[in-house]
Amino acid sequence: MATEAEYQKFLKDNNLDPKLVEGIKRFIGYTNEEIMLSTPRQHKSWKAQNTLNEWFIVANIVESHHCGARNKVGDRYVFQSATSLVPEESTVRFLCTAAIVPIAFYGSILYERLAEGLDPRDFAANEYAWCSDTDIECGGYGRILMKLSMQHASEFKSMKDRSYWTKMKKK
Amino acid sequence: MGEWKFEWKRFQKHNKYTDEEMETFMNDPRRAKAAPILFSPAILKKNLIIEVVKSHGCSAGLKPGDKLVFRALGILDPQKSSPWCAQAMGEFGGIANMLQDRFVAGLDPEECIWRYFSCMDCGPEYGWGQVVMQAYVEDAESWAKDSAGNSA
Repeated sequence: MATEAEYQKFLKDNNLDPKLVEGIKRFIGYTNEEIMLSTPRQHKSWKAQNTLNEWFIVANIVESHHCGARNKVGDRYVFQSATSLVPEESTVRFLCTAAIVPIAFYGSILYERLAEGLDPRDFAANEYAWCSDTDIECGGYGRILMKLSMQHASEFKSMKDRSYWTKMKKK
Repeated sequence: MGEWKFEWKRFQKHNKYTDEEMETFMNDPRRAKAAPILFSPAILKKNLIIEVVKSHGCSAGLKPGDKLVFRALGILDPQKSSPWCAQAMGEFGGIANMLQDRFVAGLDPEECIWRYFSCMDCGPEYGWGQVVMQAYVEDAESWAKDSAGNSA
């Protein structure tokens, strides 16, 4: 078991703000020993965490063909902090894994760009992504095309009142 | 050897785009900016390596040190790669996207944060086995002759 002095030395050697690390320990439940297993690459992500929480990945559906999950044009999927799906901000009838998987690929881009101090909106990957279904003529049901964007909390428009989940709660 | 210059006509021929498709592509600032960088000799010098770093109970036989080599941060080189398990491939697209994004932004792709991931199996207690992989970037031997911008 690491002593307090060893733990403090680890924080100092890795230029880690004790307040930041305490917050991470409280939120995730790491012990001092687990913190000491971390690497500078992980610390880089920790330092970006506060900024990361301010950003949303928004996938707006711009085409929909026979979507079995009834996702339609104008609907959207919303993720916060790169990887956390926010159902109450996602307006689709059913949350579909075939749509969520390609969106998940954008999480690490958001993380990396913020950690490097870059504007996440300028990402180089395609702005558009198809879900992984292939429509009726290629052995599937249907498919949707999504336009992806990174939106800061200051510009993000909450659609809570329009979301399926909120409607269900009201009934 | 003269200074390399990206040639849109060769790119169009390489991707077999119609003129209309090419116009759409070039009118998109995001793609128009990325293409000359993602088809440059510089990226052809970068290999994405996926390497097994931990393996226990893997019925596909993946073991530490097994590798996949992707040229230009995204094109599998089967001759330099080990046999692989389909259930251990799910993260590849996201990793390639992220590394290519760093490259286009002028950042060293090797300095990325996210580089470890596991297969979707969950070890002998709940499944069969589990493999942990690391993604990293290393300089390749010269692939410059394969550049789409130069040779298509």
